[in-house]
Amino acid sequence: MKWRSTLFLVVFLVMVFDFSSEIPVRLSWNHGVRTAIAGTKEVSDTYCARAVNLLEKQNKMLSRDLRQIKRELLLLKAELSRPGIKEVFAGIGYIFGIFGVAAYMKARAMNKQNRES
Amino acid sequence: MHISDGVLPPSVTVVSYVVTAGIVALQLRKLHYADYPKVAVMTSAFFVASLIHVPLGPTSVHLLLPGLTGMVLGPISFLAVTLGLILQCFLFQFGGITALGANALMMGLPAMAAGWIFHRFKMSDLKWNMILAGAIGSGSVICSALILGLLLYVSGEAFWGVAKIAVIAHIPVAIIEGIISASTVSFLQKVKPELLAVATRYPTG
Repeated sequence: MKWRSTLFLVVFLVMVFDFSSEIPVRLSWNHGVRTAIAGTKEVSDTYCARAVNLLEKQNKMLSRDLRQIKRELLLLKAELSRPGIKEVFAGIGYIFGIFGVAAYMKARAMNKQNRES
Repeated sequence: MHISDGVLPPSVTVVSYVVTAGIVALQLRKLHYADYPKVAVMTSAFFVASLIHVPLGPTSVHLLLPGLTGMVLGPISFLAVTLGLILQCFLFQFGGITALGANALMMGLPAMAAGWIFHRFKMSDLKWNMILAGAIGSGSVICSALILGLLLYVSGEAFWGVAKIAVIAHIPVAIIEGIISASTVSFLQKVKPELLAVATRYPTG
């Protein structure tokens, strides 16, 4: 039984020291609670910094893309609000139509006068 | 050069509407039926001319053609200008509906003045008529800019500030319009002189 408990101990110690390099909480078993908290904070700080860095980069890219899209939207809006060929011909048609109706009325009135006289 | 909605106070809007309506009513009575096609064509030309943009730095200004309209139509040009402006307002969203009266005055009065001056001073000499038409074409644009300044001055702006900006912005347009007016008038005089001659006809029946 003695060799078995020794093996357990060795395996356990190897596990602890092996993981301790990566997971600082494990250190609490060895170094006490204060070290553990300090280690956690340190590592989480680096993680946070990395995450923030990444987020900032992504944000910058996104806002650049958004700006470009907004610019394109404005251009499109300006393009759309500009009168096209349709409006031009509509206007010319209105003008000729109005004067055509006026000429028709005048002609009718003159015809009537001619017939009466 | 269009005044937008909400720039002018209600009093100026109402007065300009009344004056415009009065002039239009007078001219409708003056209008001879033989002039209908000519008025229609010039109205269309005036209506479309505002789409020809002259790039000027960051902004652009467009042709106005009050001078040419006035020279061809004479005293009935106000009618053509008003109709053209109404259609521009509704189809192109140029200028506001409430400012329609002011816009009509701004473009119509120089047109009428241009017609009167042209028919007062024109001769049979082609070159003289061309120079006269060019000067009138340019002058009517400047005159419109000054009326714009005057309208805004009545609304409480500083006259010289607005007028100066408007006049400076329209100097390129005035030059181009002078050239266009001169060439059009010379063309008309060569090809169809009666188009320029009968402009001041008044109604007989």
